Amino acid sequence: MSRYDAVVIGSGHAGIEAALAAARMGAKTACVTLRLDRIGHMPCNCSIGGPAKGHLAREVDALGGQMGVTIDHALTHIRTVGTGKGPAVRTLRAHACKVLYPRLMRQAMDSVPDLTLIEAAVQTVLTDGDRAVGVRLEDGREIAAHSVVMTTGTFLNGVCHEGARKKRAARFGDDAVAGLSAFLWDIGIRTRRFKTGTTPRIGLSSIDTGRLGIQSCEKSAGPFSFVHDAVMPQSRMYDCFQTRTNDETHRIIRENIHLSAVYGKRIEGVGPRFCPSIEDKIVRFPDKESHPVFLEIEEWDGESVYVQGMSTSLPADVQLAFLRSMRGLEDVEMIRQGYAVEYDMADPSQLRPTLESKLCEGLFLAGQVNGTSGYEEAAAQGIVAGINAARRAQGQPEVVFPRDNSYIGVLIDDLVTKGVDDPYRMLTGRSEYRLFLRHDNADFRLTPIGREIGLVSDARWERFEEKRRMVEMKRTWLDSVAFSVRDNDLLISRGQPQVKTKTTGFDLLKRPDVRFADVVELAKESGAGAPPEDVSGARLVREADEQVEIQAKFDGFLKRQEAQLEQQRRMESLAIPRGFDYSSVRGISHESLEKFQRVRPETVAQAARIPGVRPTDIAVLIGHVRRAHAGNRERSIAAR
Amino acid sequence: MDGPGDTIVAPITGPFRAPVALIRVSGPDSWDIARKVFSFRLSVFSESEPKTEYRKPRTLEPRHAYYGAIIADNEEIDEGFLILFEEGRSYTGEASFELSCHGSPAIVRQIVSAMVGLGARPARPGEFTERAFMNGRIDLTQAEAVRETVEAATQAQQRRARLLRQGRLAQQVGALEERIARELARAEATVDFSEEIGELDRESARDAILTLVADIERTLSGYRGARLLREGLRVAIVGRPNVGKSSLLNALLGADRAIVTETPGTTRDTIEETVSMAGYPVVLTDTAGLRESTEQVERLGVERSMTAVETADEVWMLFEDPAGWTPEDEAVVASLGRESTLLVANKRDLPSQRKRVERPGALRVSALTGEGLEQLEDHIRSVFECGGAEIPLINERHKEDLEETADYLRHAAETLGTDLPTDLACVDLHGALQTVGRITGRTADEDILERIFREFCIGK
Repeated sequence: MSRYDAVVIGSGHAGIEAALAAARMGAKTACVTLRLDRIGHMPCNCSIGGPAKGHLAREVDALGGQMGVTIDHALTHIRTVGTGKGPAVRTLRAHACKVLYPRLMRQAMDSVPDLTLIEAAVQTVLTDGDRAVGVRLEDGREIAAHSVVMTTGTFLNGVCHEGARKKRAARFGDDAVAGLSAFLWDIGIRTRRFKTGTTPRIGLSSIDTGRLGIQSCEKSAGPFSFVHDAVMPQSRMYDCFQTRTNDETHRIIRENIHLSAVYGKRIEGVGPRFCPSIEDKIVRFPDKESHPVFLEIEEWDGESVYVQGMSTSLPADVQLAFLRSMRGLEDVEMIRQGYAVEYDMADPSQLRPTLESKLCEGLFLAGQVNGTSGYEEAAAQGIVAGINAARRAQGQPEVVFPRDNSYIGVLIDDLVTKGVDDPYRMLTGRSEYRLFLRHDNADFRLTPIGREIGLVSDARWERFEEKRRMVEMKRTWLDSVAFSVRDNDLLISRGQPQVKTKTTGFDLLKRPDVRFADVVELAKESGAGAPPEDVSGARLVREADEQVEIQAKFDGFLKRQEAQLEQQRRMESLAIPRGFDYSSVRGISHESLEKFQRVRPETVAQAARIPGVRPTDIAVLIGHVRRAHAGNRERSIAAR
Repeated sequence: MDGPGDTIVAPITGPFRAPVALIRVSGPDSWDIARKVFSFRLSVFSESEPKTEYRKPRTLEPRHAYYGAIIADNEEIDEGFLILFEEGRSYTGEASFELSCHGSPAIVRQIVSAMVGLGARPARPGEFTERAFMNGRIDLTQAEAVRETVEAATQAQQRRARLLRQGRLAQQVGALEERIARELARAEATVDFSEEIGELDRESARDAILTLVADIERTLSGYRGARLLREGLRVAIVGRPNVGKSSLLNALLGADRAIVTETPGTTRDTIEETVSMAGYPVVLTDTAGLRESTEQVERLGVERSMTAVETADEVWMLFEDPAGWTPEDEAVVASLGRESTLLVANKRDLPSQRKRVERPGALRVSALTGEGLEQLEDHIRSVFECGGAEIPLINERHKEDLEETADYLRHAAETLGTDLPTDLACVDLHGALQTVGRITGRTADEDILERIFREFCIGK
């Protein structure tokens, strides 16, 4: 029997990050996958990023993950989204070549010495009491491991629906898995049926692109990864096309809605509220006359185009009819129809913030199996599960990501504290301290953590330290340089309002139209002095300038949010002892008690976030937790 | 162990001489302690010498009063009533008892130390109420109300504390909290879903937020009323020497607190007393008579009078009714530098002098006979009640949180008035929500127990 520190089941976007993180941290890791040619497969929208998802992708990258690096090599289109919505919302979105992206992921996995890829089906997880000790493969082989990470996506009892036709499959072209659900039920994990859907694919040469709106690629928007100076040079990039649904589209869908797998009641699974099918959109927003539809090219030199905004489980002929009702698509050919897939998800409120199961030590669950949707959500969980699987195997303390420091933390805290009612998609608004959780400072928030746990490479770390040094230097200079009324002529000549009192460079940078370079110019002209020369590459300089500009322009907002954060951090640090006996606390109401016992929160702050918990019960809990801590202290002193 | 498992003891009456004092013991060992310190007295009539025998109680019914002896070290310390309370039906929610004894501080100390000898721990201030809270008997604002009730000296203070105990503040602030949450949700929805639901109507959002600010400001203006109720309306009684300021103080106090003589300038220092007038607390300050003086002590007294005037909510200007309003009185009023003073003509029991100048608007009273004093009560009532019949509920803790909430909301409204993105207004709306939640406890706050329970002054 082969022995590993960690075994990862699955090689989707969660499995890749889990396996790579564990192996890069020095854990001997095996990744078992049904098909090696499906590593990093993109069965749905072949894009990375977008609102809040871009934040997750950048955070995975900042920790030393793979997603950002690979997309920079494999993208066919990139642009900034959320411009005009503020610094917290702004991020990147890229389209991947769906052929190249998986191939590069396979290469990345092959290149890590401690990682072994195994093409096989897992029959079940092996346990010893309440502890996972490995996996058994369908062919009878057993693999022993300290930690087991399940990233099974939509494979558990997957059923695909195409109109009235349904068949057992996890997605187009892949068989479903039955055995692992039984294992989850056996150890007491609650599962539910969720549903997700994808859109039809259409032929590029059958689209009248001349009649469509165009979303241009902004090559300078990238790169995704903090380690790159730019996205990789490609011979050409693609634009993205836009059309809209109209009265006719809506009529066709409405008249055929009974044929849809979801509305025809053939699907019991709950679909994603924030990523609705076109049927959902038309039923739920009957007043809306038109919905935007984006056409995204899926691969270099290929025909396949993804119809973003049109996921559907209607029959193929209806899909073709409504596609052809739209401007520019009158003669379109459908390459493959859209379909819905139903699968088993495991209740994430039975997980700890490390993504380890509360019911089975050493078993980690990550990705879509936890009830999320999206590659970025999966990758974020994957890297956390991989990190903690490795830490466990190596006997190191676990790593928890607090929600005030990353979207990764927000995602996991939401999952384990609130559970999910429908496929969870990350949204900007889910983070209450999002002005700090910007996509541009993900490295400041997470790269030091990644370095500490051995996941960040020397090259990434040196680059980060250089950037940090530059930001500090620029900030110090901005605070030291000052403009006075004597400089007013100069300011006016540059179209700037005059200053009334002595104004530091930092204060001048707060003006909406002033960039860091402008302050440098003005300081040179006024004789106030220049900042130390930039010695780094242009990309790092630009990133550092951006940091000080954001610090200045949103200074007041950042300070006020910091004050809110401080209070929250104190509550996050008030840990509830493992195995705390809630039933001994008499002052807590029955409804809160039931929720505390079910979720078993690890901090008072987490307890306060459980939906439906009464505020006054939290105050009672604070009192009892402090007493428990006081008691523990006395006992430990007595033991000495 | 200092924890929920131990038994605590403290007197729950004040630390002064009184006919009766009450001691409370709460915790798992309390009933055992009660059986050890309490005995029934049996009078034994003996031929030789009169002798008292004691019998330990065999069964004691909770919520029944038993009369007997309090015994420590086989010696009777005192006698009193014992009442046991069972778990879940006591003030703290734990098994407990209350024991009355004579109100000598020495006896109380002796009994408490006897109980400590039996395994109880002296309770920290507020600890009984903290336990009541921890055991779910009361909520946070109610716990605060307990303190106010204990300290309430007047009817109005008691009424306010009762409203607090009934959770009225939590309701008021809860409504505020809900409105802020609604504005935040509206703004936040457009951050992620502007495509589906359109952009935020920033104009109307801004109006709604400014309305909230105005409502908080109105609540805050009630804070002065709340402070007056808690601390009393501060009134400085001023006037020329010998117009009867000290007599008025004594008359309103119903006691000879201030020394009254016929010699002008008797009061050299300011004297402060709290009285209940029309059921409201009033802190009266008797000041040295205001006149030019060559004597140093009296001059110092006059300076102190001016300080009292500056810190007072109200100034009552006393003058002699028989003499009427004199230029000297006019000079005193002018020297006060206050916009308004209440004019009180004293000694109306004496006959008017010939050249008496009538001063319209003055209340005519007699400190000596009590005639006309009810006009002062009416005046106090109108001061407290003119701000509307609503009893203001907030205290210092609430005031700070509400002010901070209003600040956040003002920032949010300001942001919406510029071309900055809506998401930045969310920063401050979230701050407002988090801050207002501290009052109700919805925002978990580690210090909240500290802030509430440590302010108790006695064992209660």
